Amino acid sequence: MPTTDFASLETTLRGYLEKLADSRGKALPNLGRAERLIDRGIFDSMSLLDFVVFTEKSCGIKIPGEDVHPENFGSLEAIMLYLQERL
Amino acid sequence: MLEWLRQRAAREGGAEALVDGGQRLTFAQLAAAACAVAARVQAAGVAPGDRVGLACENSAAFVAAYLGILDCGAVFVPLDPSAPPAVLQSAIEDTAMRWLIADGPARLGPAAASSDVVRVGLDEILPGNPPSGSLTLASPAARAGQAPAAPEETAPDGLQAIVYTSGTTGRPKGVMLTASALREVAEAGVAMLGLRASDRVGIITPLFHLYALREVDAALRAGACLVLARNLTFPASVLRQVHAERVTYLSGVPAGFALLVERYAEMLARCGDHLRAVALGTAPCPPALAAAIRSLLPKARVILTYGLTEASRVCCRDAEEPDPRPGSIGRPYPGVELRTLDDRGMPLPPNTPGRIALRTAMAAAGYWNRPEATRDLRLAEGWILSPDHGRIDENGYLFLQGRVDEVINSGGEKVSPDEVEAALRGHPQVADCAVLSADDPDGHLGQIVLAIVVPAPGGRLDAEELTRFCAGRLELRKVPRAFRIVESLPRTALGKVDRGRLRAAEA
Repeated sequence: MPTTDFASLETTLRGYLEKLADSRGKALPNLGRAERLIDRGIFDSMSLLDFVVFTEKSCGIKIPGEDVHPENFGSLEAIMLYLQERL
Repeated sequence: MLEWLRQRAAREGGAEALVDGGQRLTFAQLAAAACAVAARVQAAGVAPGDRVGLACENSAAFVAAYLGILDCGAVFVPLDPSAPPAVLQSAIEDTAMRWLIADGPARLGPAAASSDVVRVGLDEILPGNPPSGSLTLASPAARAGQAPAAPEETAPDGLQAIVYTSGTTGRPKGVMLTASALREVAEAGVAMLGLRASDRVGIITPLFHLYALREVDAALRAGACLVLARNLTFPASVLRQVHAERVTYLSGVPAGFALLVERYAEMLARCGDHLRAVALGTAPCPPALAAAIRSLLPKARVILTYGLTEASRVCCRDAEEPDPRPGSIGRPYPGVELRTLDDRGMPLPPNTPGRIALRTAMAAAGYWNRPEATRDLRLAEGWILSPDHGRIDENGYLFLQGRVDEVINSGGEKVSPDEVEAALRGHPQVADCAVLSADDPDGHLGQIVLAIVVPAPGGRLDAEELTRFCAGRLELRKVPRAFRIVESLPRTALGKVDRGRLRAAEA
């Protein structure tokens, strides 16, 4: 299995989140890694699901519904930590 | 509501009344919290009949503030805490709002500029609350340096809440609900569910909607415990809390349950040993979804409900397998009379499709400051006209056939095309537009908001730009999820947009 380039993956996911935020009129300049995404108002349960599906495709993994909670998906940092455990 | 709370607190004050994440309140503590909010609001100058807005996420503070506002005799105006400033401003002006309460200054919107702002630490209201949280009270009237304008229309006796809903016209309408109507709604909910003090009522939809707020009232009526799920965006987190707190009754929207069934089926099934009833409302529930929920929760009643903001509980029935009346939304609640009317307003015989009208003590008194709309709503002899079309069979079962107006039902959220069109027309490069419903390609929301847009000459528009523009002016649920850019819109001989042709072209 090839080694995952986590820096590149983080850039991809950050780009997705920035685009999602932009489409909702909520720009994400300098999104901190530990910043709570929910506080930035870009997720609802449908857009969160879209993001999970995008992450699955980007990483080639299936993310169980039970794993999609704030501890794993509450911030970019949490997402990357979760993916590092999974990949 | 407060009387029910106080009676329960006097009887068994130490029983659990509310769970909000790690916070647990007894009935005595919740009653004290409501009193504490009322004292602060009264000290700020609120008088009976004043409109007081609340823009809060679901929390113990929301419930305490709601009950505190009622305790003052003020009129409760729930607001979407994530609404853009223009939407908040519209409600502030429409209701001549005296005070707006928010769970943080950022949610005050335009009222944040008020010269009269009071911060109340949650630790002052709710026992055991971390001192970091606060409720912030701001007086939009103080911003202008004057008292709020008197409303044009005299409020009905006992007005308790004004709840905004999307109607056929662009501006949301404030539905006026009296204390007696809301008490009836609570009583009907308790009777339909057989709610008892031992129940644990899970709240998994936003409390600024009457759909969730009425469950708070029903729980208070029954003396049951409220479980407010945190992190509503995360279904897995919600289901964990529902399971950990042994919730016995849940109500939600079909779109939300479709997501749970599709992605979180195992977690939902684990709740089957304590959930005894699940209710689905605000939008039609596909039979396959009801069947899927029943198979995951075989011991629970799965209840389909129909109501309006103007009359919260109209019909209901339990989903059955096999379904003896496929397509029916059930029979009227006790005390609700139902009929269908022809174009002249005359009652129709059974099984004849027509406009649905109803008579019930749960009905709204009318629309705030909208006498014409109120006249359209309220018919003679206490009947009110719904926006829905349908038929009633010889056994009294209602079969809905859709709305008579253009209002879009997206995942249970009602969206006025006029309101979205008005927002789009504010874009300098939009020459013309029409907004319709379209089937949700993902199947979750039932309908989505589709905008068909004509750019101004030389203008360049795309979906991203239009989405961004709308998101700054409308609540997220009203922002179109699909756009078509076209050269012109079809029009009728009278020059109106020909929605029929547009719809046919989309189909």
